[in-house]
Amino acid sequence: MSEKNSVAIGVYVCHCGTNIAGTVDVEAVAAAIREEPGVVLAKDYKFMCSDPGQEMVKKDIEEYGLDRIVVSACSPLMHEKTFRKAASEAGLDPFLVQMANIREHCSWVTKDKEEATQKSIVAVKAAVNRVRWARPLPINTATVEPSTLIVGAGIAGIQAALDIADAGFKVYMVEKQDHIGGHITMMDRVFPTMERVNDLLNPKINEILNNDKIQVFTRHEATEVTGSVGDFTVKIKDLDANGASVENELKVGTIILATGYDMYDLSQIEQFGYGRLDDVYTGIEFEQMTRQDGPTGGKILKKNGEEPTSVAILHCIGSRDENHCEYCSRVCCMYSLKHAAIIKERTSAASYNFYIDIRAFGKGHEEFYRKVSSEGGRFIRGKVGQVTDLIDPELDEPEGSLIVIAEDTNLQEMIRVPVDMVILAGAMIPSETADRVQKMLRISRSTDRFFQERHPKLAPTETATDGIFLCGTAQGPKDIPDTIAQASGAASAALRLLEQGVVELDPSVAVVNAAMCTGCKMCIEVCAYNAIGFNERWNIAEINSNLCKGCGTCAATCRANAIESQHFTDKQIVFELMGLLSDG
Amino acid sequence: MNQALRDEVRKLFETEKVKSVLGYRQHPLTGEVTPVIIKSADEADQLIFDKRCVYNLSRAVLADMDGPVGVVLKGCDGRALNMRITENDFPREHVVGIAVACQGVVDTATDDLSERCQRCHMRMSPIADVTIGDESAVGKPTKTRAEFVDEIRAMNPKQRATFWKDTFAPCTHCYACRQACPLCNCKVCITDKNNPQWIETSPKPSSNMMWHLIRAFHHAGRCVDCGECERACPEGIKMHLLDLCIAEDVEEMFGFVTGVEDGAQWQFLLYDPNDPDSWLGGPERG
Repeated sequence: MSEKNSVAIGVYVCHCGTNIAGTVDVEAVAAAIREEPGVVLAKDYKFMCSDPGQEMVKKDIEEYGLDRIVVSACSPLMHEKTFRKAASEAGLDPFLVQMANIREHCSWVTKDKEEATQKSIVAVKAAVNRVRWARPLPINTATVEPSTLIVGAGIAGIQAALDIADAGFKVYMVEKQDHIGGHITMMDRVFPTMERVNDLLNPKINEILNNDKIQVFTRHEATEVTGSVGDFTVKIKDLDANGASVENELKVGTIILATGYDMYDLSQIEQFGYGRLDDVYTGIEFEQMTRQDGPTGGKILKKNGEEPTSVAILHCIGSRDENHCEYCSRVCCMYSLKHAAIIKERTSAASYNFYIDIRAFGKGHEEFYRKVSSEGGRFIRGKVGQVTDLIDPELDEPEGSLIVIAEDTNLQEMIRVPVDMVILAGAMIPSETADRVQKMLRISRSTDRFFQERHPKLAPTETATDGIFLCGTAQGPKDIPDTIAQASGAASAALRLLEQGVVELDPSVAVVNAAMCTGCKMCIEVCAYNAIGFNERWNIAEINSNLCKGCGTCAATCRANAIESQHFTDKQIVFELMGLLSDG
Repeated sequence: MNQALRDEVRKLFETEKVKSVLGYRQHPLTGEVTPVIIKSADEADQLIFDKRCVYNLSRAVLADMDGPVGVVLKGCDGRALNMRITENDFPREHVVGIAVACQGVVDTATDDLSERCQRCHMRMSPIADVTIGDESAVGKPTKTRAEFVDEIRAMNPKQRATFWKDTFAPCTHCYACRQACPLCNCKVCITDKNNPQWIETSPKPSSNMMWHLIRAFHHAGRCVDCGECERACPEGIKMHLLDLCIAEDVEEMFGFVTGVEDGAQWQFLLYDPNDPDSWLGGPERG
């Protein structure tokens, strides 16, 4: 146990002003910890994170030859980096620094001073115990291939591609359709400005096609992704190759997912008659009808070729519905208003919007709502129960019309509205390719089945896997401005890596002890990051440390205990526990 | 039976389907039935199979044996072998299953049908490259697994704790149960690690509990109910009851019985979003 006795630990107890010192007797904590084996000094100080606080640590490292540091202060999320850097500057490996969180875990949540002090002592003891077994971990770097793969060439993918290509890096775009532009190529106008889609999109498409940094593969899909941040190898397949396996291999440093959305299959919601009754359209079908190059040349016509005299627009079909999609699809309110505006502009038909709430939260949206409603669009607050072609003869309903049955919740009565045409504002769901892409990249999806961002507030364009980014409706329903903003965000996140050319890899990863591995492959199955491969020759698992995030799932799964997470070794954890379970 | 077995094994050697065979023989001096490895057709005449063939031979198959290895398999042995293949201990081609129509083996102390065989619902091995004997004559179980575990399930947590403490009390940490178990295949057992020391070596209530709980957890969803652990225990500890309780839970919750099909899957690796998660406080799902 000579190793154990040779450590020289410095412990620093922070007052954090009165944040900690108000509830914790910091001097008592320092005094108690001073007696622990291996502890050379234990000091308390007003603000450890201040420059003088950090200087003190650096000076002590030199003066006392400290080789382990414990800072008992706030959450490591707050200041672990600060003290790792300070230690580093004094020549100590950053992984030999341990935080003990006596603010969030003790002073902020415990009222009784004696209890809080006791608890702090235990927490610091655990940290001292743990740091004793910490080992220096070398930080490896990996070079970044100066190129990006963008999956999906809708408006999100287009924006991200242009941003990256404009910064001088190679972009490969893979698109399953035979054209680029995605869903918005089916639309005629955009809300709330009512600009023509072609005016917005065509210049962008031209830019893409004329940019020699961007290589577009339409009618292709990515079939396999291996490697890790900075060094992905992507196999792409030609979808028109008729079974002949024409595969290309691309080397890229980063990947941006812009796989977009699909419309919920509205024939599943039988009561609205979609697919069964004539002149019941989905929003996107109606959009197509309004295009100059659409099936009616931009005219709004019923199936029999006549212009409708009245149109019902039904909001929240499938969205905000616990039987279908619980979430709000975010764009339907506004495109429904747009549909009402187009109907007003091109026909003399009356329009009825049946809504639960009008969510007009974006820039210029409320104003657009006001304009449409003041120009004669009718708004009925109530979710439609049914659309039927069975007219009630006693009510004088016109022959051949569609009857929209709803509760007008403002009047609190059931109403029947005969119309000529029904537009269903259907829910957005993740692209049908999402399942395959998820399996290919092993990234997570949230409960709504859209791809999950690393953090909903702080990292909305990143996935949990380094080097793979998200944008547009692949991550959740959103309108065009939000999609463009997120696409530029994802592009700039990817550019951060491409510009630097190297990535630092966190060394707190899992490692396999080859002598103990039984080769059962269970770790491979549970790894969420695709980080574990198999060495057939030696019949053992091998972890790609570039891909490993150190989550520890494999280490916990391994029955033979052949996997250990560096910086979270069994020994560190057991000793930490022994500290936590001590009397304090 | 014996003649058919010997003829079949001879044929396997002659057609070069196997390089060695793991089977049972009666020891010429002691008269005891013991496992044997034979390496040629000439040796086939010593093979036997009867109710005294208690050992689970799947335990004895090693990846570096001269293969393919023929293995005489009872139902439980075959299920265990199946799991070992699933867990990648050796490839399927490494073994040739010689499935024997097993009518149950005896408890060698009493000569009565052993407990494990009373509840056995699968006396034919799922791995059966050749079959010996009359499959229809193997008989049906006289007891259900539930009969063994219901009593424990009815106890409250405190009673259970006492029950298991008493059950494990005679343990001397000899690890015969581990040595007999076909699925205790860790290269270094957790009991043999001392840095950190997970399980204290001296027998006492805490370390007994620690060992037997870890053993049971390591077998959750894997145990094939061959009962070798109990048979091997010199103290007569019924530690296998705990495995049975878990197997009952696994079957009830996931409809999963371990190792029953050739090429069986492993419960821990079968993820289904519709799995019930009632124990996590979530809703019970169909």
